[in-house]
Amino acid sequence: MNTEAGALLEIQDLEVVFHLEEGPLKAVDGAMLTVKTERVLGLVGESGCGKSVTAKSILRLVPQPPGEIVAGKAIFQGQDLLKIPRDRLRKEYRGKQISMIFQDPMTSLNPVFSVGDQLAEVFTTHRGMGKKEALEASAEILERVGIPSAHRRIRDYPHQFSGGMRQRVMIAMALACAPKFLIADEPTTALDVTIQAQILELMKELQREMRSAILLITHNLGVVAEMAHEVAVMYAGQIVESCPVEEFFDNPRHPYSIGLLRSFPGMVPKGERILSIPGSIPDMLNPPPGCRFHPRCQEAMPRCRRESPPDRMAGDNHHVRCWLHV
Amino acid sequence: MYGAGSMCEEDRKELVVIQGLKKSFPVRFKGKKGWVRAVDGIRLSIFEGETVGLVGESGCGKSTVARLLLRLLDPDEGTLLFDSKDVLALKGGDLSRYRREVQLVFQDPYSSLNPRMAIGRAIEEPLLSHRLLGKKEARQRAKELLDFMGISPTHYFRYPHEFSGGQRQRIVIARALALNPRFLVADEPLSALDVSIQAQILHVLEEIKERFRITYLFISHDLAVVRHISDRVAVMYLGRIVELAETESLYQDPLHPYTRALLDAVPVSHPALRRKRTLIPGEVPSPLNPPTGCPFHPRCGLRMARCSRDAPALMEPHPGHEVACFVYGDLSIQTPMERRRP
Repeated sequence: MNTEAGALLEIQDLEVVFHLEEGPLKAVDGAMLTVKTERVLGLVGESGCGKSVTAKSILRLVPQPPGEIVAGKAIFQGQDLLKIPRDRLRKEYRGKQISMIFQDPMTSLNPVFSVGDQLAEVFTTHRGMGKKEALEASAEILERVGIPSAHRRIRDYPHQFSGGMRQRVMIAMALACAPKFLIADEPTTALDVTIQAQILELMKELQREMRSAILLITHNLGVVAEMAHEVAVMYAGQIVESCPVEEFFDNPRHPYSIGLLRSFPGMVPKGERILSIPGSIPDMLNPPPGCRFHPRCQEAMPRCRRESPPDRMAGDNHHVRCWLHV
Repeated sequence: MYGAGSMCEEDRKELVVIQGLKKSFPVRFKGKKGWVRAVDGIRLSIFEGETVGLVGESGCGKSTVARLLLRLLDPDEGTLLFDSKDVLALKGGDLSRYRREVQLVFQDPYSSLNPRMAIGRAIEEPLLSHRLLGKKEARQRAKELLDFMGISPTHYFRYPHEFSGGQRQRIVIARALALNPRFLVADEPLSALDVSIQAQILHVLEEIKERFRITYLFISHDLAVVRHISDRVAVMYLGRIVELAETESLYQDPLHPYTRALLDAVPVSHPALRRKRTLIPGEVPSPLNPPTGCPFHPRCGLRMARCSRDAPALMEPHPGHEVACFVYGDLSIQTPMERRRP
């Protein structure tokens, strides 16, 4: 995965370790990812697979200690974000060129400041606006994300907003500086399905309007089908497959991807049995040797138990880490 | 078993009959006392051996229905019959027997097991407290149940923290099965689990149903899961059932504007199916201050003048397909409560 045309962010060989009492836990183990300009990359995986840690590493938000980014690069427009001074990262990148939306809109807003104050801070910090101007800009962007009577609502506190409205506030805050890159970590997981549809629709609209790229982290394959241009599947700290979205749904190669697609009730045609992946997610303190997925894989061969498979091309822009495809 | 209407009408025996069930909770809001109408007059019959899915968004009252069915809460109004017996009048030994026949599986397997009780003991406890088996037999039964649920009986003395979420949900289900229940209420049993594990537990629930012929009320917000497991589906909105039909009939030909919006909001299953959505505006109103008339009218694209005045009752525009919406007719020609099928 060398620098190809249109790559906005490239994560190369990222390794993140958490130093725990029980021993070192390698949450991310050699992850490779490319997010293209103005495109949406869906990063899929189950809890504990390292997808959030990967995303947080980009902005160096992994708590340190116990976490430590031990290796790898996160190259954003030619600049390795893992190498630049923290101060520069904070002033020039976080919230300005790269923003983040988290899963839980209940906890990602500060309960003791009004929504307007929290939004205005983005404008005063990154755009050098005065307080009054910033509040005006806040009201405008709240209106843009679909919050009714925004000029009045900027005086309200987070608890006065519903879950869906809070997520709109978070989106407004993330997009305040029209960032080139947005990291959305399970942005609709805490929401009801009709509100999820509203938020996804809004994100699509804004993505086109602001021409941002999005790294969309989710465990919901429906959200991927709805939003993504490219897909990357993560399992036990590694990216096991990545390809364009149609290719993923039509022609998944990794047994884990295939298993995921077959176990997702919404993906399985009516009348067909939902298949499950046997076993459970490996203990990351003690990951299995060889291919991480082999204990659950129906196609495991002797080699899979011994050696970790390399990243190989299985078609145009289709990467897969599996001995079946070497 | 996914298809609807697998049983002949004549064979169907009503196991659970809910009529006019209401439950409100007192709240204080901005210094004022008020009532949250969690369940606002629902009517639902569940036939022996069938799986009814109950879907709705958070706060629609679906979990309150589960609690009322278990008699963990007492309703303000309405009747609840189980096997033709009046559940609300049960006392002492009869109530205890009812609680053996009806079991509940909760959403969160992390909080529904006592962290200080070995899992084997957790499974045998209901057998001992209902004095159904002696200690030895109860232990034997607990081990059999563990084995049946795919957990090694040698784990009998282990504690809940030693198990993953999926395994814990298996243990919770084993505990619910210990008493040979006839009716199982599963309240979001998959929501706390990962995708690959959800499918495993869904299989377990289907297997149990086939093997023990248990009747299910499957409560979920996940429309795809409900479609897979249910024979009939009821859709709740703000404390009321707005539509009730056989599963495929509901998914392929939804009648209520809310059901349509709900199904339309489900993300697509393939990128080629992306489309422009007709989103329903706004959010679910607060049950503290519900709208007058039809609870859905402020968000409804088809609303008429009378929708803000009168609340539509469930009626049956097609046989077996019930809907509470004035678009499909008038209250005055509503079918009697008792009549289900022509």
